[in-house]
Amino acid sequence: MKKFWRVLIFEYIRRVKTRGFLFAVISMPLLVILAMAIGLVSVRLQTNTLPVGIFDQSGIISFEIIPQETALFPSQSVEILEFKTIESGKHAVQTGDIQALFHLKADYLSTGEIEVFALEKPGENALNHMRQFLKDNLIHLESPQTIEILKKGNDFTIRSYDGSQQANMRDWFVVFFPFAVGLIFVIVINISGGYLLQSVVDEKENRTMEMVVTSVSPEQLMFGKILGNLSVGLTQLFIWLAFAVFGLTGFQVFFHYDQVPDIQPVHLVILFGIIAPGFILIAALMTLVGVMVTELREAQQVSVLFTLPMVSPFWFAAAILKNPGHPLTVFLSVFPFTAVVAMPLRASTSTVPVWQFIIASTIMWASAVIALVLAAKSFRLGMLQYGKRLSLKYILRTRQGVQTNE
Amino acid sequence: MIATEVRNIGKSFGEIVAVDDVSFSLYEGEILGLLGPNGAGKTTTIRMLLDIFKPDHGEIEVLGGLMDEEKKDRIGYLPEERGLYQDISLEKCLHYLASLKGMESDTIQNRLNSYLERFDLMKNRRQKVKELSKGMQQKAQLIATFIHHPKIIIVDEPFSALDPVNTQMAKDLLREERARGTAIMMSTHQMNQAEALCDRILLIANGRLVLSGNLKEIRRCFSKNEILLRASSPIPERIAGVTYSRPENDQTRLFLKEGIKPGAILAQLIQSGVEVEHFETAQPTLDDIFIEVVTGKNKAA
Repeated sequence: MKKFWRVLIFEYIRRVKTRGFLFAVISMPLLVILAMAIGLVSVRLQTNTLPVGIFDQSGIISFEIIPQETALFPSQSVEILEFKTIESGKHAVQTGDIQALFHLKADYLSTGEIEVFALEKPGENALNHMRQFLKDNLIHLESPQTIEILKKGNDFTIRSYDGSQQANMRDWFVVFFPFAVGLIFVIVINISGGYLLQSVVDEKENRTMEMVVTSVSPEQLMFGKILGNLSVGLTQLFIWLAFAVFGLTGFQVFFHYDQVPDIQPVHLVILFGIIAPGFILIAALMTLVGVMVTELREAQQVSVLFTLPMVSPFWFAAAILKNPGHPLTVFLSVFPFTAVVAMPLRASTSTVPVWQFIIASTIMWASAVIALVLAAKSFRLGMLQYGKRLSLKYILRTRQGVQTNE
Repeated sequence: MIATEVRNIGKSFGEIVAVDDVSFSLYEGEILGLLGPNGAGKTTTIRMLLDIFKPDHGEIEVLGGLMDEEKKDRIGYLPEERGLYQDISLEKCLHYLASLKGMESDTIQNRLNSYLERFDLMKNRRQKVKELSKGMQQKAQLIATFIHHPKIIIVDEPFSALDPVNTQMAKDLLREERARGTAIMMSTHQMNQAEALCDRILLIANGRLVLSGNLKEIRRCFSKNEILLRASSPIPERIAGVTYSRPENDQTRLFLKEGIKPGAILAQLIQSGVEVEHFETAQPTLDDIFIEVVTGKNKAA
């Protein structure tokens, strides 16, 4: 057991302490930060802090109402000035005292049309501020209850037919979680699987395995490799998630967003009934492929056979979400290679019958165990097969023992 | 004392019989040479000893019992092809391989420093293995084999890629281990190295053990009635009891008739006034024996 841990830790450390890993870890948050920075710069470029003017003939505007702040930063807020005549307003535009004049005609309430006079397109901050100002003025005319609902917005709760599943649309986590789980699975298994594949193929071909199996059993070596490399993918993911949490916390602080994620039993069923065996299944298959072939490129090509079906439910996401009970959707959510993505997708917006969860989980765990047994067997058979391919037929037919190169 | 006892082991892969009914013992404090042509079954035999393969039949006893996890830590193995992690530093690679032999970190570091010094690799310890020359990698592989002070050492072509200085160093190391009581099995194609180091040899061909025993006895057994002679005066063309002669470097090889004793030839030469500088009963080299046995002209058989 001690040696198994040594293999696991070695596999983990040697991957994590590489420039490639560090680059992969920081590249994603950097890209997000870069995208945000570009967004902010873009917003900044579309910002104009000159005052805007209003010439109101409709009589609905009250300048005592202070509109809700819409600007991202205080420096982007604009002042709203009242003009008694359209000429004085237009003159102010001409002289550059204001960036735009908003003309509300007498029939505004029936037409909703507003004329804007400007030398160039007004800043986005100014337009947003005006929209909010107009909205606040309009709802000011309504009853206090109406004002409250309009301000708060509507609250949709989607219930399943039997009432067992409900998702409040404000609780974004309920909808987001299953999507995220599928996506995370695909990311982690691709990262870890790549490392695992490389580790197995390289060590088989440079004959390190022959050295190592004189100290540890092939099973210890294989499981150490699988878990070590899987941990690398998970580490990468946790670091990304930490960045995401950091970002969301900032989002909440800046925008006073106070929704707290709520874990539900179905999430745990998905995690332990579908995702966990899914990891084992794919990792075992990666190992199997790694010992069967002679080159990394070939291994990567073969592994597409099961990594491609894995992501395929994302292509049909709209159909799955629209028809969660369709036989094809049900099949995709119990078939081992597609269940890891299809089942969470279904569960995000509908109630998956318990029996289907049980079937999917049973199939997943059974497939994972079979794949592990097959991987262990192929590992023993293939680890000393330098420069030779192993056929699946050979693995299945051979009872025990290892072929030699002699 | 017997370190490894092999009894009638055999291993087949499909229709191919790789090892067929091989038995031998490996004793503590000896170097046993495992010789044989390519594809003879040497590597399969070694892999069975190391428990990488299970024999189809027969038994292998290691250090007084069947192989287990604990005994694996007391065996050192140097494969024919280098088996080192290429993308990590030499020090990390050796540290890891030693840790898999159950050694604690402090002990590993102390011994590693000492071996790196001895093999002149200290300055290369932070280099990636793939950046090292073949010779350096072979020295690293030797360190991985010896670092945990095993009771049994199995080395497959230990001197490949080593220059004469490092070959000597490796030989010294093997001799030191033998003196310490370690049982060593050495597989090699370099007959001169086997002659220089091995106490006993096993010769395997077509999966079967065709020759085994003490090197001196084997040589005597394969010895032909031949003499190597060097003289400072001309050697007579006709010598009684000699069928024919052949120059060989600065010497002459004399092929004696059956039953003729070398002493009689020496006496005859001195009587005829030949100034003898060197007179030696020629022993067959291990190369000669190997070729003779493997090509089927086996005198012993």
